[in-house]
Amino acid sequence: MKIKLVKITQLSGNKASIYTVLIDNDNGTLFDKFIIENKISFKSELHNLTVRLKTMGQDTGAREHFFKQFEGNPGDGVCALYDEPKSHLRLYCIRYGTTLVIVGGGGYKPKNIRALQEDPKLTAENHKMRSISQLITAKMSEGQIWFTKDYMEFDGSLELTNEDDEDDEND
Amino acid sequence: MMKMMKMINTYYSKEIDDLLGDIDPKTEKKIAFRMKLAAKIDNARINMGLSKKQFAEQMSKKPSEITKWLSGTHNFTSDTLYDIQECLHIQLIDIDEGQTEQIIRFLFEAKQKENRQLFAYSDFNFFRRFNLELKNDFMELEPDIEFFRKLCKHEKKQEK
Repeated sequence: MKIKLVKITQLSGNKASIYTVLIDNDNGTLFDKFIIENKISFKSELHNLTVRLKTMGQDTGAREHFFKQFEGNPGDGVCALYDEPKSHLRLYCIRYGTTLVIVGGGGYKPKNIRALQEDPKLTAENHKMRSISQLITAKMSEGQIWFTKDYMEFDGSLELTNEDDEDDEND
Repeated sequence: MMKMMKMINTYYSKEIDDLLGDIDPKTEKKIAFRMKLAAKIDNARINMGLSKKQFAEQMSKKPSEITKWLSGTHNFTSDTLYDIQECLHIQLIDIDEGQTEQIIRFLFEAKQKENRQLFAYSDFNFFRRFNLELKNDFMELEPDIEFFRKLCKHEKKQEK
């Protein structure tokens, strides 16, 4: 898997930077795909999610309570926006404190399921974010990517490839 | 192991642009307002040194209810906001008419009176009561305020 972290200019502000992910040089980011997949059926929810991200970027910061925590592996920062009773969509993110969020994909969460594992689409999107978080953590420990001093941005090389995946493909 | 390449990392999304352009500005403000309100409550809770559980206990609520309040999606009732104000010693609802509102109301009423050529002495006292210097921003608000300023000066001279 080859990913590129990109900062979304329309949503980022002086309180938080909102990033998303380009995977394998695809056209459009994970968040773009999420919008395209849901803009027919859940447009008002998409409006809500987008404004929430913009408000975090420009006014409030990415406060812990704005997200549903612990949606991934322990300590990987994978969380979801959001968990309102009437909402249908689940958008997976990785949160790094109040100043940095990576927005991924997600999907429709049927009312008759409680856990994401019960829905293949949600499971796939969630696991993608877990892998991305793992990749970023690995790259940080290698000193190839780091936070800026104000913790507002990633610095270093924001395009990274997981060579383990490539090895698996070659086997 | 990972490979790396240096690159520009900002991204402008047409999909996001289309979405943001499509949102009713009132709805956008309302969503932002709910989040800012939640942030204000959470800041006050932290400043009071209360954990989420302690805050829930003081409000006689379950912690899950507090989580909902702080999510920035909750539509509070005025009673709940009042209770939060009392608990955290902050102001969330301002029901008193502020000075700016009083000035606007005064100018509006004065304009109506001007049309009928009726002025009350209390109108001119208004500015003295609030110790207002008639600054440029108020001049911009209502150019006719110059007329009242002159009258106020005239009144003061007469008092002397």
